[in-house]
Amino acid sequence: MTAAHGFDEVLAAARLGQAWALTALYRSYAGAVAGYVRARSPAEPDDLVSEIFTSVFTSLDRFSGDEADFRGWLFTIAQRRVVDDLRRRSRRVDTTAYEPADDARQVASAEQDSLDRMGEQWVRRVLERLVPDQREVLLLRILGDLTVEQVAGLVGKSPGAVKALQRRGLVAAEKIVRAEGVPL
Amino acid sequence: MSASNDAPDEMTSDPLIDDAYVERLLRRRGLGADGDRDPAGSFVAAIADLGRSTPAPTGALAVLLAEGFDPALEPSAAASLEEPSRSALRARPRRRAGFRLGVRILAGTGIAVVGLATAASAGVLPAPVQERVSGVLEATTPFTFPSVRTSAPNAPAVTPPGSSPGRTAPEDGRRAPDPATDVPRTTRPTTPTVELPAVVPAPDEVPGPPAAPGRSELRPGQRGGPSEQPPGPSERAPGRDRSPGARGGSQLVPPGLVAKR
Repeated sequence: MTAAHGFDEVLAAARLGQAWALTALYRSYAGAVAGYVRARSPAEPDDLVSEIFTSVFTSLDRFSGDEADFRGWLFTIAQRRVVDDLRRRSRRVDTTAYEPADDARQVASAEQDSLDRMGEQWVRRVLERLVPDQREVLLLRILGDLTVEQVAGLVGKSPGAVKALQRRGLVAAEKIVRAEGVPL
Repeated sequence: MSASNDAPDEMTSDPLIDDAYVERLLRRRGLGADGDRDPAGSFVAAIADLGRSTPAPTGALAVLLAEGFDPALEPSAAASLEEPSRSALRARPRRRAGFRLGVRILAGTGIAVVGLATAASAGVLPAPVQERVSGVLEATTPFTFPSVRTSAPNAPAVTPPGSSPGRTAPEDGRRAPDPATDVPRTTRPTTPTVELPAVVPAPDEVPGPPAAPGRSELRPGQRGGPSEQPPGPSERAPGRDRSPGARGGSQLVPPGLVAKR
């Protein structure tokens, strides 16, 4: 977790509301959660990640378990928030105000930024062509680093079904990548 | 898992990928450099790259990470930090709509009560309704309202030009005036009993344009005048004041409200 503290110590301090412990948990898991959110709900992912961690930190007293359990619990909350967000967005028309900072033509590092976005867009494009269950299982296994059993519990399927989904998802992705090529 | 979850053009099994390989691929362990070169490995690596960057915390989380929180105050702190739940957000418009409906009902009830009280004070309600409303209002307010017995003398009657005050018929379905109780009468044996208006004001009490000089308002054969009384038995209407000038009620007592003593 940190150089000086193990997961249990950090979790205990976070339950007491200590800022350093909350920050340590955020630094350890925010990237993975953000990747999952970006892959599922690309609109305003950073705000959604902050909402997820606020919800997690304010309900730490309800959690018990080790680090692996914490990952599972964290991604359970993340998955529900993403589903809620997708439902909410599907009910309204998204309008995005123009922000000069988001305009690639006006950003100094526009080239690097566009390269990053190309990679992200390519991943999303491949993911969108997978069956939803395959996509969900692969994201939770890769970004959440969850076990087959944890994913099975989260998506409500048997471990055998999860194994079949991840295998078929990889086979399908391999075909798509072979057909379209890998960017850069 | 149902077959409908599978992509239609997808193979049901791939001999090149077994469970152990998939596990290593997904965990990105033990694959070596070649693992990222095959298409499936590239795809998994690209997904893992999505989680490389940590976003900057925003809103309430930024405050939490900077200041922490007091666990003793956690329930309220959590409530203030958490975004309102979707069920709470959905309930807000319902609560507002309920409040608006309540206000409308109250306003409507108030308007109806005021209207009823006004109508009762004017004595224009049908007799049974007038009795009940007057009773209720007199019991709940310090005012006396005209009842069936008292409303007619207090209600001013406007005599249309050209019509005989003694032959004015009740209008708009109002209660027909009771000649026996409503209007004092003088004994005129030769005059047949006719229906009388609720109030027969003296000519000088009848509102209207001033008479032209030298021109009488009374037509030939028309009854009424300062010294005349409508025909009928000489009775005092119940509840009427005996004091001089109290006759006709409309000019002394405002139509309707009389303060209780």
